[in-house]
Amino acid sequence: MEPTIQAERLTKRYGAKTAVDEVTFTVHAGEVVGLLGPNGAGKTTLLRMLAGMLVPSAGEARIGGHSAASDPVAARRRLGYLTADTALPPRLTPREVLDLFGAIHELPPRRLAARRQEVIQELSLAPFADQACITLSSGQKQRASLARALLHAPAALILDEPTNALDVLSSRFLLDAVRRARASGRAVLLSTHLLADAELLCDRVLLLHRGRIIAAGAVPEVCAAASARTLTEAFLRLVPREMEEV
Amino acid sequence: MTVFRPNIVLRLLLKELREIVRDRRALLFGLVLPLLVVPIALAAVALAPRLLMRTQDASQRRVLLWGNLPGEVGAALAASGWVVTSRDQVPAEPDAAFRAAFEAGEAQVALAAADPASLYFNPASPESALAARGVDTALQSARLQLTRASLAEHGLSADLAEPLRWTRREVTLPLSMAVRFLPAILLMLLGVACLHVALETLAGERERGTLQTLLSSPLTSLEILAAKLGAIVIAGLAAAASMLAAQGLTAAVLAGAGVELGLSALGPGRLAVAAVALLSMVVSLAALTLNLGALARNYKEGQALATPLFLALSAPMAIALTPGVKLGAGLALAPFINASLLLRDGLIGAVTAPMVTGVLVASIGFGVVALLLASRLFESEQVLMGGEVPWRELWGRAPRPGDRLSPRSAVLFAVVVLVLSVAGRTVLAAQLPAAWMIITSQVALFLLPALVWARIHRCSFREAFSLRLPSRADLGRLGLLALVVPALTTGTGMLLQWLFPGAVAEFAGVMAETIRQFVPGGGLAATLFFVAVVPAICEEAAFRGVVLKGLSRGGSAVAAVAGTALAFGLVHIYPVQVAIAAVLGVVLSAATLRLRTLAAGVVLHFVNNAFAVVSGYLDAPHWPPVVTAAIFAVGAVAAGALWLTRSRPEATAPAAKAPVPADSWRQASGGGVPSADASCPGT
Repeated sequence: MEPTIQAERLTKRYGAKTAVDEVTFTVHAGEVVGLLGPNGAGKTTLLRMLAGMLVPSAGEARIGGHSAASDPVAARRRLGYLTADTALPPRLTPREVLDLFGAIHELPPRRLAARRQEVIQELSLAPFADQACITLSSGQKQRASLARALLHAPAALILDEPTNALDVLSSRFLLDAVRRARASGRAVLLSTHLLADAELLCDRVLLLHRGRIIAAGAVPEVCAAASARTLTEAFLRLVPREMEEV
Repeated sequence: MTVFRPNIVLRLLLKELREIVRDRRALLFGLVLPLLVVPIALAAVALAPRLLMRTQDASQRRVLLWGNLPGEVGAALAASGWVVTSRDQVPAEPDAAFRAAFEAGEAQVALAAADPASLYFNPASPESALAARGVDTALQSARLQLTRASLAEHGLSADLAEPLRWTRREVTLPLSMAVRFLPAILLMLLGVACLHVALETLAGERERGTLQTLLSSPLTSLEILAAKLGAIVIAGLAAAASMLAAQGLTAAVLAGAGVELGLSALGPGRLAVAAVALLSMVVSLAALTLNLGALARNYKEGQALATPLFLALSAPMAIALTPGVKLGAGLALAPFINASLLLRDGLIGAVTAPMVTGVLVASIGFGVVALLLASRLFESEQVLMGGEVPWRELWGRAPRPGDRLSPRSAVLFAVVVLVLSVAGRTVLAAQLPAAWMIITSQVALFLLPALVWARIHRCSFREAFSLRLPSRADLGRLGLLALVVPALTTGTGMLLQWLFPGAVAEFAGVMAETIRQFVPGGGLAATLFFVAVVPAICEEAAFRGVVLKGLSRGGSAVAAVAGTALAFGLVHIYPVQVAIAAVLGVVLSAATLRLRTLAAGVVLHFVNNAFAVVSGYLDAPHWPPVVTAAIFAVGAVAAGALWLTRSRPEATAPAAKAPVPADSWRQASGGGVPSADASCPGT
């Protein structure tokens, strides 16, 4: 079966600097893959190339079989993209945001109404669905953003540090939603600094450093390769020597 | 590949408008500010001349008389209420002496005895300038008295001194004062309104992270920007409506106070012209501020960039305020200046319909070009992601695997060329002789834009314009097609003649006149060069080059041919010519696609135009029917021969999404669906 998210020798250069260097991986339907790495490792650049927002210097990113660089619109139809930076229009309400993005994804009116109701219910948006987004708390905003990303039932979900600046309850709520997305057969690529979350949630992890994947596999495999008991320990063993040089 | 979906743009536009309506600052800048500023500005403009006159009347008028002047001069000035200070000697340096006296407030004007006497005044001071006029009047009165006295001395009638009598009555037209300042006021206020919306919807969205949300959705940058441009235009129009309402209210209030602005004299025609001027002004401002908003990383940076923008806007404002500057063909193309002058002249009923159309078309053209530039800017990753942007790299977006002339680029090019050609030819026709008009318009409006467009899309000219020599077999087919074309256009003309005899007769008259302009001066050869050779090269580069090549990337040869023919038809303006050119466009496009060379379009275009020239030269309407029958017979035989020698399309193009022709393009641009290694031409 063709992977839902596919990176093939994906590379991004800014002048002499190589932000992402020949990264190759896949994420299949019903799988959560964690993208880990220190700050500046190239995670966000990699995710933006997958979403077709940045054009690779070499290699190819495909979402649902569509090239993110040459046909970004088709690729994004199959993608839900949520980062700590993807905010909601402050003067619209979550319900209006869902209507807008439903229209952007060209959902038929009945389907849109049904999906809107589903995500409002699933993410418990009802109490604040008609308040302007600017009045919502960080957790409420992120739940509304996730609803926006899930509205069109995408085959692929890319989450870039979605629990940043969220309290424990909101984070837990969001991670539960990720589990449900996996259960419903979506391919999830989760970039996070919270290694405990990754350990609990991810089927596989990719450790990115200086634009290259330095470790990949199921959490026990990565831990075993680094002779570590936990993912945090493995991370510290694989990365620290290079961090000292930074 | 998704290009531009109007329904999606409409939804985005509604979202933008909803946000604008809920934005207090937008309402303040767009609606409240005009309601406050316009009445004050308008009242000041209306009342200023009156207040100045009153001030002048109320202040004491002082004049210095130097040297021995006739006593009648001092008497006439004193009789007019002047405070006269006399000195026996003319100062050694009268200029310096007057300057000192003026600055000390001793006099507004000085008169020195000499032959002729010299009148000193300060033109920079309205009071001094008015005083000089007053002294001038008093001097005329004194001269009259001296003449009368002289005549009386010689026993002649004193009436001889004054063979003509007149009296001066001042009738101020407040409207003409108001309209001189109105464009400047509106331009500034509309600029503020458009700027805020542009910064809020672009730089503000980038700052808040909502732009990234849109960019991660299945939208193209053109769709996002078109919606934002629409929102800026609508916000600007709302601000303009608010200003007009404020203007009307001010006029009503001033009329109640006895100050007539003359706005009640504005009929529907002048108001319609004013509406067009405001629309043009708003479209131009929206286009400019859209680019500024696309460039700025945040609202604050946008405000900093706006400072030079508003300084630049003061230039058209100054031009519109300058007396004597007229809205001509050249200025009709200059953004902002054209709308300002149209508003000024439109309100006093001094514009013509072509000028109104020219300004509107030029402004829309400016808007389309600005949208394209902003779209280009928007595709720069540095700009998009808010990085530091080196200015030299501003327009250098990262090349995408699909870089080449696309259906989207072809449609945009057709729109740009259409707008440019309508506006440009109107202007050039008024400025240049026919031959130069054809050369200039063909090169400037078709050939150069086509070359620039191909270069922008990183296409080699050989690929973009299918510069390929036809094979021998294709040359034969081309020869047969050349025989079909006259029959086809003649048949189309006859059909139109039967359907719309009046329109065809009018168009035939225009064409005959055009040809007559050339033939007597330059002969048939010159006419063929200007009317057949030049358009065959320039128009074919634009239509069978850029437009057809771009549309053919959509995968449907039928759609590419139909779209190109439609665009080619529309650019010919006259309805009859539009129809004939569209039919001809089908043949030219199909031939270019099938024979895979632009030479096909050029040759057939030349044949068609040359046939039209020769027909006019040889008085075709009076040809015997046998000639027409022969043309049809030759055409039919040639068409039959073509049918019998028809070839299959090139087998290299894959059936579904392949461009036509496909093979050379794949090699040049990295292919349709690229492999990993070939995905980025930039690497």
